[in-house]
Amino acid sequence: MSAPAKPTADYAGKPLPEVQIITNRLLSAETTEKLLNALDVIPDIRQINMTGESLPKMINSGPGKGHENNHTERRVIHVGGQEVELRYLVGGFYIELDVEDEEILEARLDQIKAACNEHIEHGYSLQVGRYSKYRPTLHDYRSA
Amino acid sequence: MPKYEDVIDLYDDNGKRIAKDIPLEAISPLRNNAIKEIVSLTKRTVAVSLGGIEKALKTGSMTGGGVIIQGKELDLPIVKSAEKIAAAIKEKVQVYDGDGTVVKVKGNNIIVVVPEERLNAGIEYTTGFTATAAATTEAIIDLFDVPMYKANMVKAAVWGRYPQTITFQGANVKSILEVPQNNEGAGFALRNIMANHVVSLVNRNAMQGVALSAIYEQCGSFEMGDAIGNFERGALLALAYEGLNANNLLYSLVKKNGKTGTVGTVIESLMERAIDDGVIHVKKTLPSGYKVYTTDDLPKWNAYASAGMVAAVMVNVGAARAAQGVPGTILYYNDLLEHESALPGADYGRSEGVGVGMSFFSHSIYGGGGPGLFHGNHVVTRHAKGVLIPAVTAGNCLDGGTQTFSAEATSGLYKEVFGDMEAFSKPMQFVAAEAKKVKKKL
Amino acid sequence: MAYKRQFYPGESIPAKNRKRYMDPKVKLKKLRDVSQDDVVRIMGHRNPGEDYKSIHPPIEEGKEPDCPIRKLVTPIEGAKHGDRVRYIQFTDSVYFAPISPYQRAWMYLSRYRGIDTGTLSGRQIIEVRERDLERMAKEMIDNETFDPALTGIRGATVHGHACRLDENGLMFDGWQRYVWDAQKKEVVYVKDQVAIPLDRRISVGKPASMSDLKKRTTIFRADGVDMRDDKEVTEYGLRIHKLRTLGGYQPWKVKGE
Repeated sequence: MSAPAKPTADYAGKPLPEVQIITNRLLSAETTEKLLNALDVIPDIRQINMTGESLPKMINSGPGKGHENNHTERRVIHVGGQEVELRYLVGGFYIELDVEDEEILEARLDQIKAACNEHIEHGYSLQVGRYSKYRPTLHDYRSA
Repeated sequence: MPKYEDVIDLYDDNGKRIAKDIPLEAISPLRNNAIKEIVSLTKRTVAVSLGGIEKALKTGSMTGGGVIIQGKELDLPIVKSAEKIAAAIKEKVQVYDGDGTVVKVKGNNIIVVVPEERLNAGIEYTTGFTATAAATTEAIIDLFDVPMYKANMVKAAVWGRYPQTITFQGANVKSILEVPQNNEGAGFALRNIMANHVVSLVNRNAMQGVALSAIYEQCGSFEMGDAIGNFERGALLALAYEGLNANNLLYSLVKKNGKTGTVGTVIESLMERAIDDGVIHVKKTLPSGYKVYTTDDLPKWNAYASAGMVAAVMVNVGAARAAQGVPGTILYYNDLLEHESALPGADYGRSEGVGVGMSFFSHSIYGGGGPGLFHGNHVVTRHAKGVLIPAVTAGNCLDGGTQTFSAEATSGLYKEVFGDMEAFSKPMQFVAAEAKKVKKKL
Repeated sequence: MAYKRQFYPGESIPAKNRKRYMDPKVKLKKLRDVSQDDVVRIMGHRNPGEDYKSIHPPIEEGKEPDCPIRKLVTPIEGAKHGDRVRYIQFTDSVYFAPISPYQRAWMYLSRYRGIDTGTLSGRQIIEVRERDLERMAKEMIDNETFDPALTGIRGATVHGHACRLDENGLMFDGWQRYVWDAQKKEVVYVKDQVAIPLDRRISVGKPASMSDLKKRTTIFRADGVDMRDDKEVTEYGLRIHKLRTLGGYQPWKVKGE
């Protein structure tokens, strides 16, 4: 038996604070791009995960099966000079902050809120907590 | 003295009165000999497909499932020898002259009515099938002098794959009833008859189909212990109004709404009739003007609601000449009626519940069977006892040729062989005539 | 006594709208006019101008099976011609769409005959003989029960009725059958109901405002009209549950309840 592969996820190993942002409307690719770029310049952000509604590449069932979907919001966006392939209509962000100090946390939250207020037209709700795991578990070692 | 005060007039499938002032009890399966005769014939009447047997023996393709047994084929003139085979079957099945045995050749088939004496000497209703199948097997072996090592082919061609299978899979002897092992529980035998079989038995006459289905379903209710004591009257009222067109309720609802009506207008007519007949009345009027109706006779309201359900199917599905709308019509008819009256729908909500499940199972989402394959023994229909399946039969009778699983495809033999038996094709007249006799006795 | 249907209890806006949509005597407002050919294109069952395919020979009077009910019940046009049974399916957003799927069933069966309909999660299918379906579909797309942004015409993959709207206020559709025309402020269909691209863009007009929709909707919502605030509707629901239960137990004892 070969040794277990290292988990692909990069965990901090400790429960850093996570900012959950749920938008009142699903965001277009353009808005998502603008918001990510506004967040990208904020210091101490360790990673950003996004969720939303899946946009398939192809029509995957029914009589139209096999056609290209050509959804206008399923495209490559540019964040911090990097290309990101967007496959969702995004409606949620999880921002992990590498901070251990309440004051710095508050300061970063203010910056995040400012970015959101500027780019999310229809409002959002924001909470701080821990919403995803921060260390590897058995699940990370399962075979494909 | 009649047990119940209820008195009804029975009308036929054309809305013509055929029996007046009939006490409710006179249509009870316990009292009405015509209903007993229908049940008895259902058990005893069996069809033998000579064409099927001849083909199976000639090709070795038998017992269903694509099985072909090669090397032991038998090329026998079975269809040509129909009269001889029939005579042999009669000799074997009959107990004594005049015991009610019937063996008749009809085209490529033989119709057999097994005598009561045979059934009385056993417990199960399968006697009709087993006696006929065994007699047919023996008749063929004897007549054509089939050697021992090929005789088992004759058995398989007649009986099908049984006893390797639970059912008589691939048999060329057909009974209206399923094997008991396929019944969901005690008393389900008469509920385990596909709507399509009934459609065939009544030659697509929707009123007669409703009557025959209602008779089967309500007899099932009696047999499963569902229509005893205080429940009996409810079952009889439902049989009367929904199945036997009592007081011409069903026919007149369809007549009034047949040309341009919808499920909605059927409900309107039903409410009007129920109010006029004193079955329901206003309990209170809410601030919006909405009237809450109540009744002093819920079983009678249930019978009215059930007749309305069949009328709604006849109008909506009938207008489409497409059976697929049956479950949806049952579901929403009952819901609309409940919202209209503030009283429960047919079978106190259970028909509506069944409509939901049946909508799914009769459309393609689950592989799809089509409403003609349904019966009261089905996992989604068994809960609404007595009143639901007649509506399914009505819808299937009125189909204009849209169904893959049509009555002609699944149950053609029943029409061919049993279609001219009055007990099956005209149950309304058959039962009404007997009800008049019972009336005199009460 | 001629009885007049009362349809539904309640005095709240959604309750009144439910009654209105169900009542066949109420002529529903026509808000847009999508051409019959475009409706046919969006459904995608046949090309405009093409003949109707049939699944059985035409129904001729006197040649049907001998059944008194067939003589009483007139078949709809498509049935007479032996048309195929085809469908249209609508998805209705939970965000105050004008109507919701279940009420569509009530409305369809009160206004149309010869139909097969079924409610599924977030959507309502209606299956009818083809030529009748086309007529009904146009009415349903043109009238007030349809909103371009919050009603979707979706034959398959209907996901979206309970999703948040997009930034333009459109109900989510992973297959993007319709897009927002920012210049005209209209919703435009670019794919048919099963997401096969259309060869022309079909506008279904401007979406209604949220304040307008809240007046038109049949949907009870905690952030709109809460069903519990309509006493008649709540009382009705409890009553039916109770009577079904009593009826299932000892129906002969239920008197004047």
